[in-house]
Amino acid sequence: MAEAPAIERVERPQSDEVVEPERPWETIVWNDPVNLMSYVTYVFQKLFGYSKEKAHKLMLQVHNDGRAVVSSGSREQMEHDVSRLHAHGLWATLQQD
Amino acid sequence: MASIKRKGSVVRVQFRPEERLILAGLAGEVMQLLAAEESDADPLAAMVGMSDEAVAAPDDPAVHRLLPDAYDDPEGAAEFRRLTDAELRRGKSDRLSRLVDALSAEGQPIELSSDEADGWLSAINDIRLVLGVRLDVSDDFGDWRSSLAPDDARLPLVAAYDWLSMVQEMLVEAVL
Repeated sequence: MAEAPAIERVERPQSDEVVEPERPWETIVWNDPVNLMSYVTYVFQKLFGYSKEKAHKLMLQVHNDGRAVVSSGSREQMEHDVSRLHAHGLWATLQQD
Repeated sequence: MASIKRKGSVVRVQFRPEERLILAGLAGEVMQLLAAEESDADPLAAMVGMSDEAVAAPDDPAVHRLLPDAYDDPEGAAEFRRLTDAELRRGKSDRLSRLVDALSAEGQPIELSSDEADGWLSAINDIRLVLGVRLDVSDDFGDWRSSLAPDDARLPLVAAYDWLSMVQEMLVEAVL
């Protein structure tokens, strides 16, 4: 079964100048009683190009835990992902990790 | 009885005449809901998909479910809605409208490309979401449904919801 991609950690530079690594943003899909499990799996495959196994695993996480992080990255990317999920009728929000 | 089958790169959909009518009617009702709650935004701003002014969250919980908040915090949610509300509404209305057009066209079966089938899935799902809010569907929907009296006024909507769920399931199977 495919693993979720690890969120890259930015190493702290050694210089005196402290550059705070930007914390990534996350797209979260929430469970709802209407969306079919098969459809949610399909949407994850279609929108994110995930394998059937990974999409299925994420769908089960939404179903069992009430929510799952389905993508992470810049705020702009996550806003784009949330828009596409809303267009497909999934209940999604974004937040900073 | 609806039949949905993949044939090469197209999905073939066959409905009975009354099924077509019911689906087109429900799609039309959801389009009206999306249009009725539309803000009186400046048409040019609406055309480019952004509003200069705040766009209120929909009052109708069913419409709110179609256009949910993108952020937990109200400020972020409001700003996101201001920028994206018009485009999201238009996309949903366009997909519902294409569904109605395909259902009204002569000839059976209806043949869909995978992009068209994706549009159908979103549109049918939006109808299910609206019915789900109207019927107050929860995780124990099955138990609730079997507890309804035979003359319960909600039964026709429940039947439509079940039928849409079956069509959605068949369509997902055909495109995957």
